[in-house]
Amino acid sequence: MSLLCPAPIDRAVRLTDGLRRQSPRRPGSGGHQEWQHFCVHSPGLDVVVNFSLVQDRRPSATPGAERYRVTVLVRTDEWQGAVEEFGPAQVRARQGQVALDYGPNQLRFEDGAYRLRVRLRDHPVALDLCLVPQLHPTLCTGVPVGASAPLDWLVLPRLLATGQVTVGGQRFELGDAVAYHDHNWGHFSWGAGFSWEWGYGIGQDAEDPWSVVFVRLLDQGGARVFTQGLFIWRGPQPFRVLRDRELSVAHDGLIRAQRPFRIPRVSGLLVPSDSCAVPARVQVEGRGEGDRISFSFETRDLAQVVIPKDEDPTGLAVINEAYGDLKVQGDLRGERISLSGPAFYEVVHA
Amino acid sequence: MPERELPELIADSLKTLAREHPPLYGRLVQSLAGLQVHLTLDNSELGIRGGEGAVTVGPTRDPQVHVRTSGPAILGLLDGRVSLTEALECGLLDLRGDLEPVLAVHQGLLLYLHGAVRCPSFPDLFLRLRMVLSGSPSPTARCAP
Repeated sequence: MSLLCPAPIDRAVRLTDGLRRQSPRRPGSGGHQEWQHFCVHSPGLDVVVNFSLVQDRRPSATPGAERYRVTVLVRTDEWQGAVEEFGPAQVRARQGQVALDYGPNQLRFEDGAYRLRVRLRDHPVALDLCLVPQLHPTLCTGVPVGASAPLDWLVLPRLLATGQVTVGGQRFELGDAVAYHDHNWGHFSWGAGFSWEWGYGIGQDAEDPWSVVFVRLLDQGGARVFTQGLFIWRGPQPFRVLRDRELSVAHDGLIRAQRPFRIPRVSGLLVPSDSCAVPARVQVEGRGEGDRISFSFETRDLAQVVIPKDEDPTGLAVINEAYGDLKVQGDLRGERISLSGPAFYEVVHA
Repeated sequence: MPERELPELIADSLKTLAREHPPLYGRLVQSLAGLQVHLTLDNSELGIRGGEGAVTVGPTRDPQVHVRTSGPAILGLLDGRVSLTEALECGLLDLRGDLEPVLAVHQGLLLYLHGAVRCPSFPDLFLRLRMVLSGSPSPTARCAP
C-alpha cells in the first residue's frame, strides 16, 4: 500500500521519515533492520551514503543490542569507500526523528533539508551536504518479502544537494546536484531467501520535472516475483504507478567485473572474484490503461557491499551497486516523458 | 618488527573467535585437527597447531603445511588489492604441502576470515595487525600487491 502525506514537504518528511528503532517482532520474522539511504550525482562524482541500525544477532550479542554502521561509496575516476561500525557509546539515534550521530558522521533533517556529514576514519573521504527535497515522501507499507515479515519503505527520489565532497585530496563543490533518498525498515534476516532490484531516474534540471523509481522483490533465485512497481512523479506530485502485470522486465548479459570494488575490503577474500550476477542491461516495459513507458539501465561500473548473513555462519549477502546510464521514455496520460542521466541500480541476492 | 607481536596477535585473534563466535571456532578446530602449519612472514616464523578442542600458536614439529608470505602481501590481501589466487600465482603467498592438508588449511583460513567479518573485536585486531606489519620489509615477489 502506498501513502502520500498531504502536509507540506518539510512537515511530511518530519512526520514520516523518523527513525523507527526496534519494535515488537512479528511472528516468524528476523531481526530489526533499518537504514537511511542517499545517492547523489554531480559531474565526475557519484556518491552513496547509508546509515544503518540493525539488531545484533551475532552469537556474542546481548539481547536487544544493535549495530550501527555507515556505508559510503564514492565514485570519481575510481571507487573509494568503506563500511564503518560504531559502538553504542559513539551513537545517538533518536526514535521518531531524522537525527543520527555515528561518531563524527551525522544525518539530520532541519529547516526543510537533510544535512549529511561524513568523515571516514581510515579513508580520505569527507562530505558535507545539504539536500533539499523537491517532492513529497511516499510511504509504501507491507511490501512482501517472501517468508520474512513485510518491509516498510519510504521513498523521496528527488532532492537537490549543495555542499562539498573531498575524496583523496580532490575537492568537489556541488550546487543543486540531483539526489535520491529512501528509508527502509522491517524485521528480516539476510539469508531469508529473497532478492531485490531497484533503480531510479531523476530529471537533471528544474526544466525536467520527471522522477522515476523501479523496484522489484523476488525469491532468491529470481524465479518468483513477489511484487514489482514503477513509480513516476511529475514535479512534486505522484503521477502514475504501474504494478506487477503491467510491467515486463528483461535482463540482457552479465557484468564480468574483474575484482570489483568491495567493502569491507577484507570481504574480497571470501567472495569469488568474478561473483557478480549483475545484468549488463535492464529493460523494463510498462503498459496499462493506454499508457506506455520504457525504463532502460546500462551498467558501466560496479561496487559491492558484502554483509555476513545472520543465520548462516559462512553465508554472505552481496549488495551490488551497479552504476550506469538510465533512460526513460514514454507517454503517460497524454504527456510525453523523457529523461536520462546517471543512476545506481541495486541488485541484491540475500 | 613482528617477531614477538605477530604470534601474540594471532593467539589473541583465535581466543577472540572462540569467545565471540563459538560455532565458527568449533568448525575451525575441526578443520585443522591434527595439523601443524609453519608460517614464515618476512623474517618472522611461527607455528599454528590444530589440537584437541583448540587451535593454538606455538612451535611445530614436522608441520604438514608451510606458508611463506610478507607483511605487504598480507596488507594487499586485507585491503582487497590482490586476491588469494593472484597472491598464489604471483608468489606473494607460497603454500607447500600435500593436497589434503593444504585444502584443510585453506578451509581453515576461510572459516577464520568468516569469523573476522563477524566478530565485534576483529576491527581492532586488524588495526593492531596493520601496525605490526608496517615495520615489515618489502616483499621479494614477482608482482607487488
